Amino acid sequence: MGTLTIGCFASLVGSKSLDFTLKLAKAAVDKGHHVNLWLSSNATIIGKAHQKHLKDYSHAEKYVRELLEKGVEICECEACALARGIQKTEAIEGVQWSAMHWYLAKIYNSDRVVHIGGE
Amino acid sequence: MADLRSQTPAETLDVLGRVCPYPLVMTKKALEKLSSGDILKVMTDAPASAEDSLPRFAEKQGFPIEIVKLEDKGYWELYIQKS
Amino acid sequence: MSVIDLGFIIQRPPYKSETATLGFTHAISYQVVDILLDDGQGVNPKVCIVGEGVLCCLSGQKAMENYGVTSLESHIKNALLVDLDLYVCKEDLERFGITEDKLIDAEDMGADKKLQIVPLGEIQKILNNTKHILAF
Repeated sequence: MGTLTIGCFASLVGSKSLDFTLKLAKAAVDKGHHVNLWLSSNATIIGKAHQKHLKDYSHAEKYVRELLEKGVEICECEACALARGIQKTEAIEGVQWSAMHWYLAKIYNSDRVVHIGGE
Repeated sequence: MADLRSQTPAETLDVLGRVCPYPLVMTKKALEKLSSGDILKVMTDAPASAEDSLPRFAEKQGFPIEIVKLEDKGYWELYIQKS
Repeated sequence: MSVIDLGFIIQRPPYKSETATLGFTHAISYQVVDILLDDGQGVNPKVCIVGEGVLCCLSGQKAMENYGVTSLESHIKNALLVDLDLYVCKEDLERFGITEDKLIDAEDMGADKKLQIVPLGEIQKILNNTKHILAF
């Protein structure tokens, strides 16, 4: 089995790319691969707890928690989160906070990388 | 460990308002210019830099480091001694 | 394996989105990735600026004055200062009518590296030789 690192910069209820990211991560971890997920820019919002699940729009918290339980390493960009007024105390338990060198370090040790850009 | 904070730093680096990668990149650049034994004082308000990347860097280089969190001011002062 | 080459594609214009900024800052963070890796390991970014991304390379930007944020120019100068390889697509510069004298230079900051203007074919070869590609 291999290691997949995904970097996601897309937004929640703004782009379906974020939904795709979460589905891709789940598919990979269900196949037995190790998955790292870097959240930057607008994607950092999904690391915040207490998101409301709305049927009419994309929702992420439930899937983020599932991924964490399955052993996916999820890390968000501290700078991007703070810039958006998200505090570390509001993060979903298990979501790491770091900086962009975390993403590069995970890439170094990955077999495959999928970079899902933002706007 | 020597009390780095009480000693006069050879250089002060203000990276307030800057976020990764700049606090550590600029710290590395500043340290390159110092002599062994000199102390660099770094002012940063980026938590990941103050509590993670800068201490990790110092530890990896074997540089003594002292971290002071100034709660009332909302930033950290880090004292790194080049060795 | 010690140091791997990592391709970065910057293709978005400046100041419409911050994607280009994120691309450059992620590339610059190669300077600090070693704190999370074993000794001797590292990442060597190969930053390829194509399409509308070449507009990021125009000098004389006034982002701080007008937007209150660090300019792309400043990020690119810092990238050159930390010895990053920045390749700018020759055909795209011509498409936008941008001549070399209008491009960013970091010599005044003490940078040894300059923006490297190369044909698209060369950029394809560069990216082909990288282990992974991040398209910003």
